[in-house]
Amino acid sequence: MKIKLATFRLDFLRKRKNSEPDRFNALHSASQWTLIWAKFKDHKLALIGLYILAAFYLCILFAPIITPYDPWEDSKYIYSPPTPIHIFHEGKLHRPFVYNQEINTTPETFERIFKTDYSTPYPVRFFVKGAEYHWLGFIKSNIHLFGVDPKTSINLMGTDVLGRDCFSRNIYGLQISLTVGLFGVFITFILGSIIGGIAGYYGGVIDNIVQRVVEFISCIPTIPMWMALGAVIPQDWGNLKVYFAITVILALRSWTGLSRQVRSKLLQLREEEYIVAAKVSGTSGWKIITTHLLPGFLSYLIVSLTLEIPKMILGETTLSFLGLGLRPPTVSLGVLLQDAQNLAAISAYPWLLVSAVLVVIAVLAFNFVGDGIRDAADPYKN
Amino acid sequence: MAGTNGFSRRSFITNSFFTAAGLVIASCGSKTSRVSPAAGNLNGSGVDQSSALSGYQESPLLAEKVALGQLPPIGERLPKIPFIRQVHSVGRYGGTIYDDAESQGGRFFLDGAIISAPQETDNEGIIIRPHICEKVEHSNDFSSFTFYIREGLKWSDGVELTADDIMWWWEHEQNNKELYPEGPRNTWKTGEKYAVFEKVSKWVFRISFAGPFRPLLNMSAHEYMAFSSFFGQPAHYMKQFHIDFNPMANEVAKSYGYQYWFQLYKEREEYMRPHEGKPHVSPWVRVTSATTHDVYERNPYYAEVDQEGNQLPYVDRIYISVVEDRKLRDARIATGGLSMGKTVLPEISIYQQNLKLADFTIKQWKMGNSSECMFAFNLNHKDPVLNKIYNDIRFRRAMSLAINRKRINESLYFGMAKECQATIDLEVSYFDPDWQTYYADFDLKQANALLDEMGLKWDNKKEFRLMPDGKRLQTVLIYIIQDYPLQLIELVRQDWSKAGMDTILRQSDDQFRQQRCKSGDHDCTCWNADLIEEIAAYLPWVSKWNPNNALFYAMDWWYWYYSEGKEGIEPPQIWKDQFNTMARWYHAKDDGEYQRYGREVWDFFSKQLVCIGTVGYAPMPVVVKNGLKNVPDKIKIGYGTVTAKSFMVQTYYWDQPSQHI
Repeated sequence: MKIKLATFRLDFLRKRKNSEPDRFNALHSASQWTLIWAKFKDHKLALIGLYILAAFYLCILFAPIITPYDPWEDSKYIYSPPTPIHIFHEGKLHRPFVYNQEINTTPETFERIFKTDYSTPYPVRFFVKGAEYHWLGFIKSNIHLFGVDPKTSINLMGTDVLGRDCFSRNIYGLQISLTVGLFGVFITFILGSIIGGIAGYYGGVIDNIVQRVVEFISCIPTIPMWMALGAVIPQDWGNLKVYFAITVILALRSWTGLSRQVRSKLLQLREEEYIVAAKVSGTSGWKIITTHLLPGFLSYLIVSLTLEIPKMILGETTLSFLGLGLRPPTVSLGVLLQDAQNLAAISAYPWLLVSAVLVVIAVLAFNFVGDGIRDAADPYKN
Repeated sequence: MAGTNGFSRRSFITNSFFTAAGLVIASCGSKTSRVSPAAGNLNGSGVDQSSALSGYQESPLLAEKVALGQLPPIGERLPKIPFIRQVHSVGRYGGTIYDDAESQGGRFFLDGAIISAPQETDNEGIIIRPHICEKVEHSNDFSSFTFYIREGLKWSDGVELTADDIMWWWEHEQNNKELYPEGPRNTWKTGEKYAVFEKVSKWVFRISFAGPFRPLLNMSAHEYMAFSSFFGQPAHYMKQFHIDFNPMANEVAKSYGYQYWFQLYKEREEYMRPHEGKPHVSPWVRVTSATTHDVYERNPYYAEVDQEGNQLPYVDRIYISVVEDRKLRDARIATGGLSMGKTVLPEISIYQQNLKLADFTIKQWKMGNSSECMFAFNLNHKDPVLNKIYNDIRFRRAMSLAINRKRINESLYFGMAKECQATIDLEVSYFDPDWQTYYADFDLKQANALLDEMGLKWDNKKEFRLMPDGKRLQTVLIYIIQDYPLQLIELVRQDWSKAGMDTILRQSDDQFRQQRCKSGDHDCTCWNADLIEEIAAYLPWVSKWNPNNALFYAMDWWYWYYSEGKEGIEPPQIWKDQFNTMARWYHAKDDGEYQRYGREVWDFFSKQLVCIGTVGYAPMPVVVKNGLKNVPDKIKIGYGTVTAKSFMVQTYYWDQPSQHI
């Protein structure tokens, strides 16, 4: 099967040179990745998941521009529900606009009463000037995709206890949750498959050494290790830096499980004829592992990877008790969810739960995409 | 004194419960002419009211036991002259009060209910009057104090509480080398000499000092201080754990999992929430303790009756469920699961919505915090650069000026709190109003000017300031989850970053925080500031402004002072003077000295801005189940009026006790 693949490769390269569009030949001579993509496209849910993730990552990239407000900036609109966007003012069609809200506090009951002022419409404007930001860390700007007159406020997902805009906070939350945490997952993935691959492919002394190292690393108890880290990590590191360091350190520990699985699978695969053939034809060990062996059970790796991601997002705040997890002022989905974990959020401020919806969507999207890739990873199955 | 940190200071006192007007009073302050605590008159009319009471009534629960012969009759259980409490309305016996605690044996909202002291204060924390003791006399120079225990007073197991119990505490506990290798605490020293404890008669004991020691009166009226200092170790019970009286004490300790007898003894010393089975003088005693709940049942020997002679408390039991999660506890209060509870102010509308459904009433109490949260920089910082910066008074002024207190007040306290510096209560006789306003205005321009003057230059981006060594001016604020909303800390962080200081927030648990702070390995920490009334301001070395307490802002200086120069770091002269002034204050001879030194001590703390306050005196709405009576409508909660008697929980009752079992 894998020998076939090599032939396909050659074919494909030749085809590319000649650039002859021949559908039938193209299918037979397509590279594995082309086939994977073709197969993946058939999986509708996976495709939707991919679009969602693409949208999320676009939001992440352009977060300061898309969001109308600074996610840390408080306002007088405390616990304001999502701002409705109107198009009819006094019975007439109007460009999209919002009404201003007036807030009064009753001194006896400490209740905030929102009263909508229907007299003036404030149109939603595009590319407005607002809070200053550094896009990607160096481009200084103050242009936001949309916004309203500073006299009022537009909060698509309402506001929180300090009157901070939940829409802006959620976008920034995605930024942390879908990048920093996942970095650790990828380290686990890469280390696990490469070290496991080497051990499994070469076996013998190398395998022996690797296995002893793996055993040693997996016997380090986690809680005392975290506690030690809590004491060792420099005090002046910011929240995010600490969390990043922790995810990396955790990844440096957690690759062991994956590497064992890879190793045992490779021990079995390396005896296959096509590997022997590759060896005989003088292919280097590295190349055999990465191009012949690992793709052979990519689907398995992808499943374990996709299962790891939701764990990471939901586990962001779990280490907070040791001062290691994410805590405010860092904005992440986990932190936002902690704010929403109370009775008030459910009964009075349900818009705080949007973060939970985002987590569910992100996790599902990752799982669907993973599912799609797993099915597609073995395009020769049918 | 050590070990006061985990002790949050709340207290509940009612105006209406006292007929304070004519009481013969003793006091620590001297705002008005004060009378020595001489006579044992309780109601001010000079008539012994107990003679006007024809007899005493008791709970049917106890009456049953009396009938079965399990308890002596009420007349024999009460002391000869019980304390007569004027209650708002005479209640009914029975029922249970429900409350939650964070851990087994942990603190709960009404935990003040389960402890009583020799004396008590009025609700302003100014007047001190007898309570468990019948009277307390002192010499004119406040060097010797005679306590008259109510004749016939009994522990909750029926054994008499006599002067011997006090002598036990001093002789066999404080002066036992194994229990306290360093001897009794320094509080008991005047100069080089320790206080002398003597038994005058079965019911009378005397504590004498080499010189004046006025705070003893305050200590005896403060439940926490009294019990941690001299009152409340039942000798007959503690004997079984003491090696001098029980040769098997080590074996007993081993059976409880300890190695030595003094380890078990120290565990049983606990006075705030005594071990089940340990006799006490409080209205309720702990009978059950499990990982899921604690149960306190009425003390049949409690020495307090209402004006009609009904023995207090009215309610039979306090049931404490252990609920670890704070949000779950809040939810239980909001849905009416508890008899009483504190609300979360920013989420008050939830409680409003639940009024009918959860069947409770909201009462507007005032929180007893002169500052909801105050911040202190580590003046003994190990990094020389930061040490120099934190020790510069201009820096602390700038940090105080940079805080936008109005914003905190409006976003988190509905604008109902007071924007002020953290200091003692304004009712204190030597109070200076300047202390509250000292650098408490929001003035970012001046703050920046001060920091510029110190030579802390901005970085290239004008984002943060740089320290003289070129590093970013960065402070790690280590905090724990407390009563204040965490957003308060976030707002302060933002304010400080506007002045160019990069603040990193580090949440931790209290053990970790204390560990770091006690070793001086922190930059900045925060805690709430109690309402310190006259009586509390004069409790020796307990206030949070002490360098070693709660905020740990100068541990090394404190070690130096406490070890008389053997350990720690020598503080600057002004701090040495301050420590000496404090010591002199506690040994003040007359009212003049008391006032003068008191003023000096607090003026120094305030003007040094060691603790930077934010907003204080915030409202604290509490929910009370409908049907729970005698709960005061308005209350002032402070540190001096803290805990036990100030709650007056013993006077609460259910109008339908059978519905609250």
